[in-house]
Amino acid sequence: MAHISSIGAGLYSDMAVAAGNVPGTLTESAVKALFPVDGASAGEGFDYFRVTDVREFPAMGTPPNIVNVPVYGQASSQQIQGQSDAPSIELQLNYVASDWADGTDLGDMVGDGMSRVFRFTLLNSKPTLYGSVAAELGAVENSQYYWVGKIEALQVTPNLTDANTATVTITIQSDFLGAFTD
Amino acid sequence: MGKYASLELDIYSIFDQQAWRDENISARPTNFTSSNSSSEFIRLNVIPASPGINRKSVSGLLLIEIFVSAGVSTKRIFEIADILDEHIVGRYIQTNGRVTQFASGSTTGLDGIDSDDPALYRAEYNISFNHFGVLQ
Repeated sequence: MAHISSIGAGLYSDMAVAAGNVPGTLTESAVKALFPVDGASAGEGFDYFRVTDVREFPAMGTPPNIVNVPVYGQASSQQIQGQSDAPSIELQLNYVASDWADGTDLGDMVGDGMSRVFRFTLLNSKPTLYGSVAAELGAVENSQYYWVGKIEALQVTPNLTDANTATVTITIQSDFLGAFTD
Repeated sequence: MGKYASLELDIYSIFDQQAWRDENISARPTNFTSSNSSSEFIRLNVIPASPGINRKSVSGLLLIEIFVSAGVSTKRIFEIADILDEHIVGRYIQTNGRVTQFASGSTTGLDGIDSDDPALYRAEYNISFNHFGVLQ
C-alpha cells in the first residue's frame, strides 16, 4: 500500500519484537526480513511476536535536546541540537498474564539482556496479518519504525475497579529506522 | 463535496455493502418513509455534533435506533447490536482524501415500547465518529 495519507487515529497501531538476531547492518530490507510472512516462518530464529492489548503508546522517536548558546552582541541566543539522552519506551498494557508468564515467548524476553529488533507500525485501519510484506501489512496504509532494543522490565499494576495494567519498559540501543512502508 | 455530505455518504455506504445485506436487517435513514412493514429494522441518525480539528473535519455520533417486535425479550436487540459492532466499531472509511473513523467502542440503551407503534420495542445503539479532511 503506502504511507498513511490522511488524518486519523491510529486505532490499530501495532508493536512487535523479532526473535531473530540483530542484523550486522541495519537496513530497511534487513530489519523487514525479521518480520516475515505471518505463520510461514522462514526457519529457526525468523519469527516475531506482537505485543497485544496495548492501552497507551508513548511518543515514538528520539526526543530533541536543544541547547541555548549565548552569542556576544546579539539580542537573542542561538539554539543548537545537542546530543540527546537515550530515550526509553514505556508501553502501558491491559495486562493478560498468560501472554507474559514465565516460559512464554514474550515473558522470557523480559530482562534477558538480549538485543532485539522492535517494530512499531502506525495503522489507522486493520490489516489481516502483520508480516512486513506487501500482502500483509501492505494491504492497508502503514508506516513502520524499527530500532534495536531490549525488554528491560515488566511491572504489573493490580487494579481493584479497572482492568489490571502493566508497564513494559524497552530500552533503545540504535537510531530509529524509518518510516518505511510496504 | 462538503464534509457533511461526505460524512453521510461514508456512513450510508456501510449499509449498502453486500456484507450488511447478508445480515438481512433492513436499514433506513431517518426522515425516510419505507413501504416495508417488517417488524425488525434499524433507523440511522447521523449527528455531526462537534466541530472537528480543522474546517474540513467534524465529530459526532451515529445513533442507530433498533426496532424489534414488542413482547419477545431483548435477546434480538443485543444480537443486532453485536452485528452492528462487527460492521462499525473501529471502521475506517477513506474516500477522496477524507476519512470517517469510528470509535473502538459502542453503547446500547433500551428505550422500551415505541411511542409511535406499540407493536415495536425500541433501543438505541450509539457510537462516536470523527470525520477528517486534509487542508490543501
